[in-house]
Amino acid sequence: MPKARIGDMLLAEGLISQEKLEEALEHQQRTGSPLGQIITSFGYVKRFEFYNMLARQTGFEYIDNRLEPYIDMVDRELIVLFSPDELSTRLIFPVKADDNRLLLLASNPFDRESIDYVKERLNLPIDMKTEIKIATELDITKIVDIVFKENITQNSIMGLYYRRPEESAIQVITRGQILFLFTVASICLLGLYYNPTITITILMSSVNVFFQISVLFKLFLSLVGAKNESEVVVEEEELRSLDVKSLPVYSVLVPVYKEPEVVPHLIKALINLDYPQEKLDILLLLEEGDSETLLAAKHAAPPANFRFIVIPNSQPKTKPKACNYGLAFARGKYLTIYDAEDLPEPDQLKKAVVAFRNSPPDYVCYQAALNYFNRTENVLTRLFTLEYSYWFDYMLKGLNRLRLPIPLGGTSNHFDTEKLRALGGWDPFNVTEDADLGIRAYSNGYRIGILNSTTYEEANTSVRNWIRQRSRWQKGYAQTFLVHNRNPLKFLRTVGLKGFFTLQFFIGGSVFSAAMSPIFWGLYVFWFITRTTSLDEYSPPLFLYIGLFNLLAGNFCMIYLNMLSVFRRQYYDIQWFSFLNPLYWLLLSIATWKGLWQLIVNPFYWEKTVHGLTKSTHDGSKNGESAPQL
Amino acid sequence: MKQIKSVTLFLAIYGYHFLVFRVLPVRGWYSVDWLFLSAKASLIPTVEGPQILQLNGGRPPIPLLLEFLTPSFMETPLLIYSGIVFYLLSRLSRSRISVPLKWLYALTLVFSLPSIAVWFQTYWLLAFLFVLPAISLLIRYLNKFEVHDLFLFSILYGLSILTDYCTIVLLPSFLVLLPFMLREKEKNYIIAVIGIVILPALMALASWMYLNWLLLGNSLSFLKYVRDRMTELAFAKISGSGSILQWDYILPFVLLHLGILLNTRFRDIHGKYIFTSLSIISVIPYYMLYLLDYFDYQSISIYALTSSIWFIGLLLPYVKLTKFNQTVAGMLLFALLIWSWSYLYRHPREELAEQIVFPKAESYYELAVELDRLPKGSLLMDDKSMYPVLSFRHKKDSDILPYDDEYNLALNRPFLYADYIALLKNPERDQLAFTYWSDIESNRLQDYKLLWSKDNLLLFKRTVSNEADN
Repeated sequence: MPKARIGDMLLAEGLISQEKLEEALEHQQRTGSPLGQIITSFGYVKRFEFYNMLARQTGFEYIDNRLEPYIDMVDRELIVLFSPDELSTRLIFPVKADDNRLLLLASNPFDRESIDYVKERLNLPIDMKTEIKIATELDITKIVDIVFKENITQNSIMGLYYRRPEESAIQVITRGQILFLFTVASICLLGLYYNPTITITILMSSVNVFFQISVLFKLFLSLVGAKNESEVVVEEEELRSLDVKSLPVYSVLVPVYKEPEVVPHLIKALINLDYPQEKLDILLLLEEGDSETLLAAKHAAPPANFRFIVIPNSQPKTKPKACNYGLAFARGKYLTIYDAEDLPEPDQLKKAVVAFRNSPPDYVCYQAALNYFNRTENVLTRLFTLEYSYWFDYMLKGLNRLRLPIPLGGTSNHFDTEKLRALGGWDPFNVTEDADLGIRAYSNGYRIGILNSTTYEEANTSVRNWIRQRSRWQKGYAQTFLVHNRNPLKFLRTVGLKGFFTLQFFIGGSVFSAAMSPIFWGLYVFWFITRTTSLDEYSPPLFLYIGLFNLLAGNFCMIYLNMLSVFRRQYYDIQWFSFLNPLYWLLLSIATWKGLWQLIVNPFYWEKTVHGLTKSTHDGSKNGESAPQL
Repeated sequence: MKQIKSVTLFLAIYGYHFLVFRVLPVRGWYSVDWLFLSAKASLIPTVEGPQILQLNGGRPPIPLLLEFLTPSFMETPLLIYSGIVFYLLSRLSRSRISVPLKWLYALTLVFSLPSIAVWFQTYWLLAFLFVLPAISLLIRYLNKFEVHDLFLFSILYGLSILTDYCTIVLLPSFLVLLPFMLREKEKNYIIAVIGIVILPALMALASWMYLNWLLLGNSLSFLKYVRDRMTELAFAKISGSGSILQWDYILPFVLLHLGILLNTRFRDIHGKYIFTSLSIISVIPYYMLYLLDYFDYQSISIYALTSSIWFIGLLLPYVKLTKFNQTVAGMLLFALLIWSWSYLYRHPREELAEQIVFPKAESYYELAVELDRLPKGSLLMDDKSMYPVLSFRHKKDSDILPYDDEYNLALNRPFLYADYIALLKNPERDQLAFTYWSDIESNRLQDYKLLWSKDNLLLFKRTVSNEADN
């Protein structure tokens, strides 16, 4: 039985001030969270000090950072009966069991449910004698990490492939796809040899028709997405009436690699989230060998609800692999990912919780909008902002309203953790693992919603860096297209016609259009300058008209839609930069060809986007632009 | 249930108009525009490049495109017209006016003569296909300020310009409404809204100019059509004693419009000024429209009345009328219904036909039947005057028309190329008649014999064999 209240004990020992204790108690009144979690996650008391005190209060022994003896004691045959994520979630670790005693490490020695759960899994009698040692969350994480390291690493890399080989991008292109491409290429070559005019005509016409369908599809999506813009998934009123006590633990994965300069901003942004800190399970995913970032993170001294997970050095060195690794340690009912430079709107997690609660059970994820805090830094950032505003505020909403598969954005996607695990996590071999996961979720019968909340990121300020980033995205889209087209008929049967159509025209179409456009622009410029008639025989009237439609209406539509996109966020000052979109598309084409080349020569290479190039501060105060209200 | 009701309503409207519009052609009433469009659309697959614009003679491209894409020139206007009536009636169901007034409006919409007569004006009807939803979206935007509505409004309005150039006159009125479209006073916001509103219209015109430049070498070539129409204006007709443009026909329109609009009470203070302004401003360009275009054969009152009925239909869901005003509006609608039919009886069919339908279409039809009956052979004709024949004919594969390479050769030495020649005995409208007028004047043509003639339409058959055949 507890001898005294722990708050009083901490106060008596001078480990916490009266003022902070009262503040923590007041917070406890609101959230219903255990006091220990509150004071450690607020950084009022150090983790080991609290657990020492807990041990004194409860009479249980605290292992006091001495994990090694327990690691040596771990019964490997016993521990394989558990998965790392269930131990991480319950913050309990069964070290060994003999005939009459079970040795457990636990963060909460009074968590009867978890203790019974362990016994049940081990087929031990419920009344069996249990020796419990108190360990911090970090200790549990460490021991799970050490004991399961190989298992988790292997699962992070090959888990999806072992479970669903047909959904893994480890194989870039299948034999059937090679045969198909070879057949098409052979037919084209034969056609070019025997009747070049008809062959070129058919090819050009097909591409033009494809362009037209893509443009009309995007226009349609945008119109649907723009409809009823005042409608939101979560109303402010719902947020206000949310019972904070009912909020579940929320995991936040933050993969960081060689970004020591943004870590302090990141920690600040995460602390600013309007979610009880003690219910926030923040995992900084650091790569082994990236000591600079690790040092910066340690130096920032984040509160106790931050955990550092070091990803073992292995190939492929990709963000999805890191996320898979982190997933094994995630404790939250829900989980999200933020990039290091992200500035999520503070109430985003609460909105996600409400959205999930209001949704039918088939919802696996809510995607928040992404936008940029440094939008007016240069022309590129303006164009990038226009594109993102259009994509997240209109296009994805259109896909959502029409119940079509949604390619997820790189960050700020909020998952139901269990469903994410059931889906197999991310594909570490796909360099747009997010888009792939969106399609995979859809083909598994899950739905994705769009959350009315925004995360502000840093827009690329350098053309070279932008091309690197975009080449990865385009390569990833090509990977996703190839993966889900391995058995097109099966995919069609699974997702139906509209899902199939979306994969072809939205995912495949984005890459194909960007790759083919320069050829047609080149032809047009050539014709415009020379006024040659040599192209006439390759342009039958009907397809010439479709081509003209694409040139005039298609390009106009895309520019006009970009102009429209400024309204939702009131970015009126950048609207007229929409007219520079053709230049932006040219960059996109360059990036696409780069990505496609890499798909052949280096398919799993992760083109890292360099962050921290912006001259704007993270509160967006540069250039007089209005900072996002966080 | 709601969907079943909607489908039933649409089918009923469609069925009614189907019966009406099937009877009219049987009685020889054909729309000039539809005959023209169907003839030209049938030629699209056979021509390419610049000829496609020459076919259309500078007219706006969307009607021809729609005609080409739809299966029958009779069905297209029918569907569009039924669609418009259905749309307005569905809006009426959401209106808060009294049930008798709703019924009266519906009856006027469906049964009044203007509504039926308007079917004959293709460009006008098609323009309304875009303008009506555009205005409706604009009203909704002014109510809700959702940019989606403004976006669609602008796109539809841009398309309407490529359907009927005359709708460009609406642009100033939309600009007048601009202050009501703005929620903020910030400069960038105002520029952004203006951009969204006018850009599609400008882009539509720019695209059309580009196509004219690309295919005809002159970006402004379509203006020739506009100029020609303008020079056809005959202001003298406005006050002409025989004209149907007399004030007694315009008066009911003015009364009706003013009666409804000025006696309207709007839902709220915010909406009051917007909708009053919108209603009044939206009418003004239509006076200009009627005065400036189609003037020589179109009845102002008919089209003005129809547009007023349609516009009122758009506004009805937003207005709240007092009992007195409902009575006044009801009486005006009833007067309109009675007036429109009395108008028909006061004017002989021929006069009305001259105004709105193709005269002597039966003769063209008979010539087409005759041509289809003849043994296979090449037919030379100028479709500028003979397009109704093209519309009615089934066999067209061996026609020599102005878009064919051999047309000019055939025009100079017809006996080498053409087995048959069909022409209109009018040198001002028919190039063949003009070229051989000395012979044609007396119904003759060298190397050919007259095979058939009626109402200035002549059909010749070649009498000599020639080397070109071999």
